Amino acid sequence: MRHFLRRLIILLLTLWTTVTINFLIPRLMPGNPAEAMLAKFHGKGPMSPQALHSIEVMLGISSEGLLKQYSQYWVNVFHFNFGVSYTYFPYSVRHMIAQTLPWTLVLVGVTTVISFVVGTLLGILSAWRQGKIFSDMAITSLFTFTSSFPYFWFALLCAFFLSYVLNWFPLSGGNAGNMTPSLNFNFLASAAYHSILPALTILVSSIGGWQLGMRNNMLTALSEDYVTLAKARGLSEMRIALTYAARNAILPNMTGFAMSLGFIVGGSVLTELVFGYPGMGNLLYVAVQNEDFPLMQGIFLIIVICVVVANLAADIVNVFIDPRVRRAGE
Amino acid sequence: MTLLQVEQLTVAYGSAGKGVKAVRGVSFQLEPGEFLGIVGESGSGKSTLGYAVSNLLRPPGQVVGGRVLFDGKDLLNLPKRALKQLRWAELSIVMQSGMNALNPVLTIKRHFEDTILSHATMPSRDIEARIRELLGMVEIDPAFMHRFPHELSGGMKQRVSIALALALGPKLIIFDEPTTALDVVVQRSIVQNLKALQRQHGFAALFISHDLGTVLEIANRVAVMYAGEFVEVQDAKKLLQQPMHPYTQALLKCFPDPQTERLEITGIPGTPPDLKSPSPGCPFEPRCTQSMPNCRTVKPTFVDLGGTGVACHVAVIGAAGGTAHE
Repeated sequence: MRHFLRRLIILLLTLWTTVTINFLIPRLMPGNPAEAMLAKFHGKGPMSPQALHSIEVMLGISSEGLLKQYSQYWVNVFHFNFGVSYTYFPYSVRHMIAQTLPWTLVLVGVTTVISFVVGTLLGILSAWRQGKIFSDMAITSLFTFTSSFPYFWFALLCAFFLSYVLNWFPLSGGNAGNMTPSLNFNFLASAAYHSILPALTILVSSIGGWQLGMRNNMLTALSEDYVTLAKARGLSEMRIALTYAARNAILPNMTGFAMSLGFIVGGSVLTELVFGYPGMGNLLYVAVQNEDFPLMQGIFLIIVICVVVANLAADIVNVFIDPRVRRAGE
Repeated sequence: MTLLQVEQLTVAYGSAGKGVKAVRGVSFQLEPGEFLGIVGESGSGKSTLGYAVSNLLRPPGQVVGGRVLFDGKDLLNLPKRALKQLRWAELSIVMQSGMNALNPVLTIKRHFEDTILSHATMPSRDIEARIRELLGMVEIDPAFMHRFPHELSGGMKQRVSIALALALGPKLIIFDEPTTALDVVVQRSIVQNLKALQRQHGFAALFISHDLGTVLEIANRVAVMYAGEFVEVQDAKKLLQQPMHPYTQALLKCFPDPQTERLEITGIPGTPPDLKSPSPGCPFEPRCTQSMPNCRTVKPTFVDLGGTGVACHVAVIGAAGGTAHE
């Protein structure tokens, strides 16, 4: 119990720090969104200081002291109120995120879980059958290859050949243009169809990491005395491979998996850009391009919270699967 | 009937032919209930021998010559299924430092259950009773069966490993440096415990260690290993009193005899030979204080003198002289 309490305190401290940094960074950056907005109108003649001021008021840019802004910021954080998006004015940041998040959660979430499960299973297989032509040599070489080529290049190739040249998949978007998101079959089918290619590219580029990592851990575990002894004890191959080797080999990977679950909400910027997918990665990219501070802060904050919570989850999971951690914490 | 017969066993690390030979043509026999100690320094091939005998060598290690007959069965060529059935039920192992020999994520109880259930079906109540009995044999409180390995001390883990080895009542137990990682007091009590258990259960044992003192205390017969070969096999008492091989004699000088006033300890100068390029003569020749001219050129063969034996030109001449004299 003390273990969890300590973890919880660390979690709260981390959250406090990140929220503060999140608050400070945009305010320390040079430039001002109102000026950026004005710059867009630059060619259309001079703008008066009053115009600048009215834009600032419209966007809610405060000229109050930093401390006052900071306390106000905390109040807003607790209300999930991140203000109005400069880019998507008059929509609020909360509205934009609520609209975008499901797309990313489904696409990146599902692919992350599949990638981890499949990669880990293949890693176990390749290590257990180390040196075998198909189950180790072929699989491991293939994944070393797929995990080493640049993601954007692979995604562009897929988009070009499979969508543009062959016309098998839609080139961009999350669903057919004329639809509004709802839980009917037509919409879901269209969304699934649009997500095949982005999902495929994410899977191909990320499975390799899990497979290689698990294979390495598993090989280390296989050389442990307790595995040799399990064999000497005449246990079944399945039991040795899973309960003795894989069970120990997966421990370090669980942390990595929990971390990547936390990063799901951040979306996959490259994927979403290449395929024009309406997810968080795309939203973040737009926010950065337009110096949309409220939107950026809202997205960052959600990412940070998810990562920190995922870390805590990883700790808790570790306590359950590794008895050594359980005792050390007491 | 001989329980274990090892004939000209040769083990190499690396590809056959080119690899380093860690065990070179070792032969010996073990009768049921016999306790054979194998002594040698690091790199002498004693642990490799233990793994080879139990058919547990992992690549790049492989048996390149010889046979191992266990109860008349060719252990190295046994079909997978038969080998799996034989493992632990008839031949079990205690490894160096029980710390890594137990799976860190399983309780002690699960280790016993895994072992027993992979060879027989038994109701869980009987299994628990059996675990209590086994832990009692090695002087461990049965309540510890619900603990994880990391919650036990090194000595306790080693005791658990011994209890585990006894679980199915094997005919032979191979001990690979079972007391090496423990302090002397714990070592002593474990060795005492082992001796009593062996008397009680009558299993044969192959006790591999670098500690000649411990081996002499526990074994009936001792084999001294050097550079992958047996250089002397002797009755334990006789080895202590009349060591034949100069290497054995030097080893005995490496630990103090508390019976005498003189506590002079000498080491053996030099290092073991490089097994990659064996010399044509006796491998111990460069470090030997009694070497003769032909020691450098002619490799001494292991001369069997009826259960005992030695591989040394000097000792064979001495033994022949001694016999003639008698």
